[in-house]
Amino acid sequence: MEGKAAPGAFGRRRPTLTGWGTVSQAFSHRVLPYDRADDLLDGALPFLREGIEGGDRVLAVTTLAMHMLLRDKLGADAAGVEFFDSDRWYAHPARHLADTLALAETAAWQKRRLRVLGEPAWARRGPAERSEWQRIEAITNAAFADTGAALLCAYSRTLPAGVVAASRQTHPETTRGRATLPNPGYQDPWLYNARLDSGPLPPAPDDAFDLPIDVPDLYWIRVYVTDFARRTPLPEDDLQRLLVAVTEVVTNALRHGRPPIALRLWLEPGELVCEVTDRGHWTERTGFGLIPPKPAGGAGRFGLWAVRLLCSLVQIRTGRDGTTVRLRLQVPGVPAVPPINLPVNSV
Amino acid sequence: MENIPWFDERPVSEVRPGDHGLLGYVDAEERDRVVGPFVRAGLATEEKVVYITDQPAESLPGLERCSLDLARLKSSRQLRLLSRREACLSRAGAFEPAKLADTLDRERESAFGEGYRAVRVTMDSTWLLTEPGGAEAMLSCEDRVDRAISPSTMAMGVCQVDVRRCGTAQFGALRDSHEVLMRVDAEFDDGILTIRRIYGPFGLKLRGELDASRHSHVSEHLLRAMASRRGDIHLDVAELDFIDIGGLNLLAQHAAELPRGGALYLDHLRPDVENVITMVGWNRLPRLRPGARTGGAAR
Repeated sequence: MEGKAAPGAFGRRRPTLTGWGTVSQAFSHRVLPYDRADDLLDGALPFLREGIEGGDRVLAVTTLAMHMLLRDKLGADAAGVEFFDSDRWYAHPARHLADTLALAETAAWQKRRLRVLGEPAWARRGPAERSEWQRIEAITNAAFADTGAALLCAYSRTLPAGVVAASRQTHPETTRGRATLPNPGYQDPWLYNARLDSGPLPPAPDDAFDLPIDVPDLYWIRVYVTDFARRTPLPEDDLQRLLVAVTEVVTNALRHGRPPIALRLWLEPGELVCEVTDRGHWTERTGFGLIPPKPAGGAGRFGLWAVRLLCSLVQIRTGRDGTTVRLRLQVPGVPAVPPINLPVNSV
Repeated sequence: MENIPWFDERPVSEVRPGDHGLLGYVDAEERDRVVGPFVRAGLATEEKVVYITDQPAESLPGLERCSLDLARLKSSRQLRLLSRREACLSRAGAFEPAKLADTLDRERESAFGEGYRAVRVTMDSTWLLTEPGGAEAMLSCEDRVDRAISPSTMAMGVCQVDVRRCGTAQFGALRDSHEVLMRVDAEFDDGILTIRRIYGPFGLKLRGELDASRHSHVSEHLLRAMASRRGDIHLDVAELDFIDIGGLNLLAQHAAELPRGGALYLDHLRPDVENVITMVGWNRLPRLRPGARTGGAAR
């Protein structure tokens, strides 16, 4: 990130992009499916070169092996590309979106375009995490719309079934070699997002730590959550994150939701889960904290977005029957069957 | 002077018999907010107040513009203004530690005889510290003052020192001879969050937990602090165990209202609280800045 914190640094100004290329100069988000490394290079090299020639800020986020191939093919031009490792770049969905968006907005403010060749790290992800990254791919279309960024996402056809198919729903276009084709199955990002959340969450376990919230002083809720978390291997820094996230979600429920409000805590393999439920129904389409708010742009949407940054995963279900927000934090060394005897329904 | 945990710190309203307190002030307001309540609390109850000063009562900290009938209090001997010459100077005008100790003993005894349930003594010692040899003289007498007050079940004393004029080294030496450091009273305290004004650097100390139930109180006292000084504001958050997202947002909003170029500093942030702010992004909280580090010098 460039350090010039001038006013409007994150303003949504469309960059003036002139004098290069024949593709659209507005925001683009394309999928590049590939079987072999050559297919990837065929699509990626023209994309990268176009950016280098056009004075874009060009990033290549892939595996180390692909970095070497790209450097080899680009030759001296490789100096105009910043290389990053996929595993680190794609470490956390919400933070990834926030960081990349900040880069795009900073570039736009400098009248440059951000151009990213990315290869999301799908390999070790479970289904829940995978759908969270697919959500980010979809929301990218809404979040980056005014930045003029060019994003090309490489998907290997060896990925688990459905991953490449889903990518055609989250990217408006497909790149094949030098050609760009529209994706007929592309879906509106918010509809895609809503569809991901259309199924119910698995029920909370019967032995979950349960607390009805009728005291408006959240101090006592934090005492309770701390008490639970201290019986788990959750590190102290993560406990503070959990407390901030829980406080935010309960504050929202008290302000905007409908009673009864309840808090539940339990452990799953590798995760501490905290659920806040109420009888209210969220109506606002964009009220899920998925897109980073503007700096100092009012308290409104800041909270839930921050909660996403603080937790490993946030799951939201809202409907006529009420609203559930589930916060998940990774816990080191929790085996499949937790050896901790947690009291049931006691405060 | 913040973060000196090995001394007993006492808000002025909690001062108790036997306390021999030191007030190192960096600001007239800080002095007035300690000496004022100390003196007025005594006068408002059945306690005697002995103020060693060459100034008239009407211009003393806490007594200027107060509603008390000073003439009546002086004539009834509940308020005793002793000049330095009467209390602790030799005929030649030199400071005499033994005379000060005798004065304190005498005043305490007479207060007891007059039926007061306690006696409060105070003196601004800055003049002494800034004289040649004054610091040594004062240190040698602090022991005797301590003997006159600490074992007593009815005496309380506050030594006032202007830290700006005597310097931090001299003040440090003096601090060792006092068991209690005097503090201004908290502006807000509900058992979960305490808000207290601080003066070196100027701002507020927040202690406990800050969430939506207490945003309005922080807002109120922060705005008051901002209105009374120009420039940066420091929040000592060494003992702030929790701050919610709304609280951070609130601080950022107030920081934006500071005069151009001013910033709101968070001093002595706990690592886990700082970790939360880092994750949310300092860039989302413009003009809210990390200040002095935990364990670092307070000024």
